[in-house]
Amino acid sequence: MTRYAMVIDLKKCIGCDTCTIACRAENATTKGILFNRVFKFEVGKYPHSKLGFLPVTCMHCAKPECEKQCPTGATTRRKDGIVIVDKDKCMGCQYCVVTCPYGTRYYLDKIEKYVKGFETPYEKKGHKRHKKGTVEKCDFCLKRVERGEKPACVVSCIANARYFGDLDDPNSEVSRLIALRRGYTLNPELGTEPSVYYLPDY
Amino acid sequence: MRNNPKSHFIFGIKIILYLFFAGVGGGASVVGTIFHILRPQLEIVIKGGIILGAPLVLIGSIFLLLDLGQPKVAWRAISRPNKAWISRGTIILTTFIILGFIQIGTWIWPFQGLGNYTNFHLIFNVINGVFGVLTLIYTGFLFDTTRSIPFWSTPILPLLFLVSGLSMGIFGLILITMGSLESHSLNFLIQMDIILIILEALIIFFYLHGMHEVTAARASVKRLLKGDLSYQFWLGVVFIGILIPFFFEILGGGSKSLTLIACLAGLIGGFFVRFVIVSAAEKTPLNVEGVLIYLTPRPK
Repeated sequence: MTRYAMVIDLKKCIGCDTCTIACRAENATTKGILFNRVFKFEVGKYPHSKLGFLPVTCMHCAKPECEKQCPTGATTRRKDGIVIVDKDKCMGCQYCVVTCPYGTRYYLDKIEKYVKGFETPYEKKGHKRHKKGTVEKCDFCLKRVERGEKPACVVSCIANARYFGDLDDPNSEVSRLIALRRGYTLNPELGTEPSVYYLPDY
Repeated sequence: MRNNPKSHFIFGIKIILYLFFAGVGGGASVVGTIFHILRPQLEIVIKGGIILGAPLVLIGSIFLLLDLGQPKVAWRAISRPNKAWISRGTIILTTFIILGFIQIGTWIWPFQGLGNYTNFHLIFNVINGVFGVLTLIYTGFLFDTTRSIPFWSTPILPLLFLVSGLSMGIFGLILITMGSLESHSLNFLIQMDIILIILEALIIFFYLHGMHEVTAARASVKRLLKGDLSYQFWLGVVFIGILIPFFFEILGGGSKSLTLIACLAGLIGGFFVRFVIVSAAEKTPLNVEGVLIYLTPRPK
């Protein structure tokens, strides 16, 4: 079995938001929706403080709350571990947006152009992939993964802080990094078993 | 810490209005059923419960439909009753509304197809009452199972919605039947209501006290007690929703104008109970090596 996972090395991440932009370019998300975000925060107290960065994307949980609570069956977890939303089945009740503990689901209430009154050719093409009134989220760049490529944020990361691979294979890069560097997931107490691991910033 | 506005979403005003209408409608229907069993001679209250029940829940459900992004596929909402509370709720609401309108059609509307066969109506009304209880509590379970929001993750919420819904149901019933009710029947309704108001006040106290002990939910409680929601809580819930109805009903002594004010205030209070519970919700912050990152904006 394959279980796709992502490892983000917080020691390498410099908070440049290249992944955010690469994701936006790849998925042509509308204004205000970013499947990938980078939180920036202060660690410690001045004068012994530094900036911390936390890139957050859909965690593709093994036990996804959103999938469990989706009334229409629009959200499903594929056999390879990727959680996807079928936009033709989604009725836009937005409960998954409420129940996702990581805030990585977005309700598309209107498709907005980035620059007012002007639509770039790319937006014109890309916005066709989105459906107004449904919920959307990161799908680990499913089309790229099916072609055998890595997600856009992994490829574009300038610090090589992101890794993508198979969590079920103990010899894969991601499994070894998690074991070697004691990778952890966010809020494990919620029991969602995310597939996005973080390597500590020390 | 930077936030993206579109991910802040917690339920909005349409959902709060749904909770309000479904609370009054479901509550009135359950109270009507209780009267049908205990005091069958009070036909006007029993019929009042049926008249308020399904139509109000239907109005609430229309708000739910308006909230959907793709109402065309709303029928899919019943697909997963084995796991999703929204699916269960959709089935409960649909059944309740259909049963209620059958009751209205067979008993209250001029063409009384099934005549005055009271046992039939009693059995029907009991089933209707069961679905009324389910209508009141399923949203509590829906909130209870939302693990991302600690302020909601408590089994006391279904109980609070049940008691508050019953109390609102009585307020609604008194409002529509007050003109034709005898004073001792009215007093009986008022006495039931006073007990429910005391229960509701206790549950709200236990709820907030318990949630204050939960680290992740304390911020929500503080927003109610002294934060941005304090006016809605102290004025809307405590003063208008609990104190005014309680004292007006106790001291009113059956006075119709005081009872009227008590009922209107109680309904407004019921709205604010739902308003503050929905609005105070905050997601568990992400914990990165001890640093907490809040997904919802922090009120000042």
